[in-house]
Amino acid sequence: MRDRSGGGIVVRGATYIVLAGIIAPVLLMFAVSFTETKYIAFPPKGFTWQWYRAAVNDPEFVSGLSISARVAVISSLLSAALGIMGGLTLTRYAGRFERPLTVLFIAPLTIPIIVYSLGLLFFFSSLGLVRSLLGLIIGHTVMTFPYSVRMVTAALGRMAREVERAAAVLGATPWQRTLRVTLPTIRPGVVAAMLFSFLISLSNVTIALFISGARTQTLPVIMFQRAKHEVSPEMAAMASAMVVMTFALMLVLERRYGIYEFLERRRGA
Amino acid sequence: MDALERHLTQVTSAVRVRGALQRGWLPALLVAFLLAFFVAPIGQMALYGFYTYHPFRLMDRDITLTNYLAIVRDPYISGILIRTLRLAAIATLLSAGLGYIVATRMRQARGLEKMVLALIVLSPLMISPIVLAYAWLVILAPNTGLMSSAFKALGLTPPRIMFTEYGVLLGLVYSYMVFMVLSLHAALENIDLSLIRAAQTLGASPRVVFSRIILPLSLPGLVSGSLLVFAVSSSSFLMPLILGGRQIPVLATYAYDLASFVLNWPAASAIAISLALVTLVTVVAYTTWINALQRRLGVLEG
Repeated sequence: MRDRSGGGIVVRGATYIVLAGIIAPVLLMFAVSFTETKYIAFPPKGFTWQWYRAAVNDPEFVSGLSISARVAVISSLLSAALGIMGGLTLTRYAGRFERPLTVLFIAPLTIPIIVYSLGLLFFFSSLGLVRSLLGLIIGHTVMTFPYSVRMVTAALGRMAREVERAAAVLGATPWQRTLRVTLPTIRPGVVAAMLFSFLISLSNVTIALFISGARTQTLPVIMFQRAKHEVSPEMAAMASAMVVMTFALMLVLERRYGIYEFLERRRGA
Repeated sequence: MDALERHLTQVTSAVRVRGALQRGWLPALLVAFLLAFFVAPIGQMALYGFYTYHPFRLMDRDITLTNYLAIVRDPYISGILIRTLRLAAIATLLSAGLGYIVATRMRQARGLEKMVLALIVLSPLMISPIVLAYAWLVILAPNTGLMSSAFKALGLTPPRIMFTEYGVLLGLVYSYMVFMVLSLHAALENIDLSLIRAAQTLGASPRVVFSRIILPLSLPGLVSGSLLVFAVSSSSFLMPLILGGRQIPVLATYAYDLASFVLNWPAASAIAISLALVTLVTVVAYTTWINALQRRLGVLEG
């Protein structure tokens, strides 16, 4: 039986218009990244990969990508490690402190990123950490930590506690239990937390915009600086390349763990 | 069986007591980490908000309320505050309107269509905000943008969207409508279809079906979606910065200007803290509402 709860054809048409509005700008950007002209043109004139080559040969782009990659790799590893600790704390050891600790762990999500970035700028200024890679890594780790905690906590919640108890009965020390029983069981959740943190770190602009220096500019910051001056096919190529990278990672996440679950988690305030 | 269970409990609780001391360091380490790199920066900034701006020495440690009071008293800053809240409110309304349409279709759609719809709706959430902003720049940039050249080719004057409130609004709805769609989608999925069919059988028009059945039953989704969109819109930074620029400052971009260029850290701090409070109030309203709702539903079920 057909569901006609929303008035059928009108809703359908209107939905497609809205969705076209969402996807069109991104598609247009892809299209103009292939134009042979030096200015952006639609429909693109001819077809060329030269702007992608130009981006890859652009020292700023390469250094931005390398800074971004370093920060994302280290902060996502740290975030996942802290996420494991946080998950274990909340599900095993927190006891009556579970609620306040949950609030504290999720707090970085509830503060607007612009507010945290400003705070970091002032804080790192007094510590001498502004413009350093370490500062960026710390900021990104704090920002992604709540997501990691949630994912690991969920994985721990799904896990059968009997296995741990069996290990305890058989004489495993707490360390052995954690390392050889608990961690292998929740590995998918941990890997997902890491990939998700990596993705967020890679796409974040605001923190780096406030605290990165001339030599520690992430790719999004470099793109921001240029966006103020020009709209060029090369910039479109850079941005398109980032979309492809994001979706490739998203695909891995979806294939292995299902996308919806993460997005549900991501939106919770 | 009972004996075994008891034995297991005894063993595990013995292990637990022995491990308790060793385990204390785990929460302690995390709490220390967050205190050092999350609470301290925010706390320091809250303190800076009470310091006195000094053009040459950055700031003096004389405690003053000026920075906070200026947000409401200074006509320029209070204008920015009002614009921020107004734009966030309009973005929320627009998102709700568009969100209902998209969520309704998403509920009806099946198979491939549903997947494609979800992928497109979710894409602004996955793509870096700078890339989204850039995609709009390609279209809207004055003089060089696609829209501008299309209008010129037709011999018309291109409309100004960038560096106006319309541009900022466009960026907000584009970026955050997804939260509304997700909330409404979850709410609509829970509505019993037979209610809608019954109403239709009894001759209700689509408008009556919406206002008497769909709207009241999806109200929780609408409220939570609205609070979420309002919270993220009012503290949005990058879209207003790129699509609105200096011409259309909102609290977030004004604080950035004060901190990075004017170097008035006390004023920037006070504005940032107020922004956090706006968000906090919205989030608390959201949680209270959800909890009250759950209690009420619990009463109904019990």
